[in-house]
Amino acid sequence: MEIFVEAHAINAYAYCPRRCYYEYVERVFYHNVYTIHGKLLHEHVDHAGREHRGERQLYRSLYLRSERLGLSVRCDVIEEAEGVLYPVEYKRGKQAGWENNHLQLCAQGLALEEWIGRKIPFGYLFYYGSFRREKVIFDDALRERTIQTIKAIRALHLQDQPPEGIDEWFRCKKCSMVDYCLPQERARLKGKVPWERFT
Amino acid sequence: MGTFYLSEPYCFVRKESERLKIYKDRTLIREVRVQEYSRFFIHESSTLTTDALMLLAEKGIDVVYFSGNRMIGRFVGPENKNVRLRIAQVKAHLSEEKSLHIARNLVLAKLKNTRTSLQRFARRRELELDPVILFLKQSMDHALRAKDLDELRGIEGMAAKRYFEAFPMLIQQSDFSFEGRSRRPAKDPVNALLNYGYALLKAELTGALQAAGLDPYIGYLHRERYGRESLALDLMEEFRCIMVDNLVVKMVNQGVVKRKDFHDDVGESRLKEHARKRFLQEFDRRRKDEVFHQLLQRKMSYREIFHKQAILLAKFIKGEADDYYPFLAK
Ligand code: SF4
Repeated sequence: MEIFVEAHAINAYAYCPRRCYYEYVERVFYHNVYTIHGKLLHEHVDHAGREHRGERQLYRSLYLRSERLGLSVRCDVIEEAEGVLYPVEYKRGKQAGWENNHLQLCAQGLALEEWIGRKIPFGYLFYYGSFRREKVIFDDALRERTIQTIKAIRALHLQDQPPEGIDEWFRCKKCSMVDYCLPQERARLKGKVPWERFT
Repeated sequence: MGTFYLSEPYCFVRKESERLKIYKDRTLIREVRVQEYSRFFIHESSTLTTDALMLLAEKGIDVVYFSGNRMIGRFVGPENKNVRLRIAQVKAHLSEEKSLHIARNLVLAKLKNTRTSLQRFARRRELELDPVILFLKQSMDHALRAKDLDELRGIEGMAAKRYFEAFPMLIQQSDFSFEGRSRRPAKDPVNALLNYGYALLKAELTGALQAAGLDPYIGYLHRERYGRESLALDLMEEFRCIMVDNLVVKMVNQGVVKRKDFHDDVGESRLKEHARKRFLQEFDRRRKDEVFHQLLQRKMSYREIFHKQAILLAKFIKGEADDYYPFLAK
């Protein structure tokens, strides 16, 4: 399979397909405070390695590839407790229960499964905002949705132009791509410049 | 986020945690929190340690090196590597039709903004500028019908010539003469100021284009010379008059810079150091000035507009937008 979809793209896709296109197909890198904030938080989990913490064993920053799904994954942390391996993903904010985070975590689980050849039944999301862990069960429905989303993202890679955006201001204004996507400006600037009006 | 100008000569800049410490003659003269800036301008005689440079790169802050009023290089951290956009940019460059289309909009915007500016002067000061204003209007009509880039450039060149013929009328200080545009060397103080202002503007736009993922060296209107930031020069056309020329006129007329702030260096007029600093300050302030963007129908600071225009240009080049919408002042 030629195109490897990144698991992180799933999150962006669930937020807005257009954002996913900019970030993962065009690979736009456009600074804005939200992304910088997220990046700083990630720094401390960004050093690959292995360590013990009480009963748990931790593997940090692992890169995995699933040939079967055409998926490449970076796992913040993989833990092992009582012989069970599971991924842990760190998130900014405190809001639990967002499907996009579940999909992304499930993608990590799927790639991990393929790598170790054992079933990964669940994973955890950790929210910096609340310092809470949320357990996510990788059931059949979640697995299926994850696989479908990966397919949809692969299709994006073959497109010349970005897909329609969600263009909902309450979400756009929090989007890391808003200054690049320019949803408000796009709405205003349609057709050719009406030069007759200005000469 | 502004631009930090280190124009003080012979400084030494070190990193200390998230700050930059600026020393001169071994004494600390300033501390800078880097997060507050998006660009760092440094002059030739000063030194940045590699640590400091890395901190700036890591924070995504552009470092631009200046020698006199010439940008000599820049150091950029992780870049916007939009390969699809780069390919589209080159394709558009190779297409006579698309190049002409982009170049035409840039020229029209320049003519329009120059006209707007002169109309303002005419109204405020009752200057007799009608002939040149009319000429600019006719130039716009011609530009709309230009068949190729050469014809378009000819129209633009003629209009610029007429504009600079009228330019001395805008200057109210009798000891400042202006004998037409001269680039290098600047034959008079007004030209020295214009050159400096354009150099700063070019550096700004080069940064904005790079941030948008465009290659500043591949232009549409300007394309004849290798190794020039042709696309930055293209985009500058919209801003030259409104942003730089008017600033120069204002600074001269209000006596912010005086005749004695210049010295003659073998036929070249040069700004003295303190006046250069003053100009930088004024330029920086102007970047933050809010102006009304006619096509977007709202007020924005110039620096915001620079970035918007670079992205709008990228969108048209990629085929994502129906047209390139330039900045038109009101
Ligand atoms: S700004 Fe809005 S439409 Fe654009 S990518 Fe972000 S969420 Fe999607």
